[in-house]
Amino acid sequence: MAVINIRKSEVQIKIVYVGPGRGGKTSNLDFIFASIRHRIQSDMVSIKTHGDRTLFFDFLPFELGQIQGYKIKTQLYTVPGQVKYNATRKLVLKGVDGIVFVADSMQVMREKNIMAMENLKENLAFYGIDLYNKFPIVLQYNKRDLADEGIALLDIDTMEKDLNSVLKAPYFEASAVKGHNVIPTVKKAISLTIVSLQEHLK
Amino acid sequence: MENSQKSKLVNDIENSLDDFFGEKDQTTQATPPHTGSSLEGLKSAVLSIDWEITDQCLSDLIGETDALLPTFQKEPETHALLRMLRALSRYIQQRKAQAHQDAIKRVMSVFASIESLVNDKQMHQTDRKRLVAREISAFKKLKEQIESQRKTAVSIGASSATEGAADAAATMGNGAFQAAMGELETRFNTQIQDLKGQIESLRKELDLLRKG
Repeated sequence: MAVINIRKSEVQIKIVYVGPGRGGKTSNLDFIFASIRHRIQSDMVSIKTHGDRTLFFDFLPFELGQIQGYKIKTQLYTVPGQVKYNATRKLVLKGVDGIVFVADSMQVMREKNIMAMENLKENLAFYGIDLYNKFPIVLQYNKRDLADEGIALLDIDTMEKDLNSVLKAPYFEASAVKGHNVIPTVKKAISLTIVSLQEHLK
Repeated sequence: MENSQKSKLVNDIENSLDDFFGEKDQTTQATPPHTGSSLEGLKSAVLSIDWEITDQCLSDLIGETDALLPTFQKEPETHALLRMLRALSRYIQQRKAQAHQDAIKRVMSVFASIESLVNDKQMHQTDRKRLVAREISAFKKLKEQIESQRKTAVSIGASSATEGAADAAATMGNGAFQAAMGELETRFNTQIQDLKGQIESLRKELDLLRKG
């Protein structure tokens, strides 16, 4: 749940990037950081294993500015995608206000995308959050650029059917390594999260 | 929330987001993440050893430091600290669990100073020199502590060496035992020489910096 400081007129929101391992969650944060680093004081923190896998999480905090008199502080996190790190994923999801689900568009990753979505649903349920009950989430179908290299990709209809048929969440086709639709994804996630928070507080 | 309120809120949020991230499509505007050797790479390697000290992490750290050295060839303060970081990493890699308990702290401190030098271009030259001098002094202190630890270990070892050596010689055979001791001695001497060389070279650089 967001941290709200009425005295300081400050709201802190937490958005977590989830999805299967090697799906591009950290690449999203890397690109966002590269795009805004000249505007922010903070640094991005990454804890990786050998081979550049996220071991614990990536963390990118920044101040967005004022919205309706409130200073909005945003914290972006990623979780490790590998199945074996579920305890870490669960821990990082504590207090989450919004989700970006980064799905891997490669055909071979279809099963892993579905499993990651199921895992997210279970982990949120642990904190009493029903993913299907208007929880702010944005889907990103990543690695669309791989089609140019002749790699077999899932078509968008299939991905929508697999992952978004019940959620009906906004989605973006993206290429995190090239930066395509990375910023629109995070903007949408922040926007949905703040609106949801406002509705929740009313 | 009423629709008009909601649309006003959404409008406000979108304006703020556009201001913050820029209105245009960022695809062509943003600088792509740096993938080559960079301070980010070095930071990641330093954070890795803070998390878990493995051979691979230390090799990565040495690799990142080596890769950065040519970039800072013309910045003597940063160059000196990078070399110090490399020496510390090599020492920890060689000594592993037997490395001095303050060696990791030194790595963190030297990296923090490198980061300050690189990121704070406004830092006055005197402050830059003072920062390097402080790190050199702490490095020298650590080296002295390592030498004193080694001397203590040698003197304690010497008292039990007669019995221990007799046992070891009996089990290994005299020739093999002598060879093993010789190897150990050579390895200790090489490490000491290496550290002495690093100190000497850093001292020279410090002198040059003081004169300059």
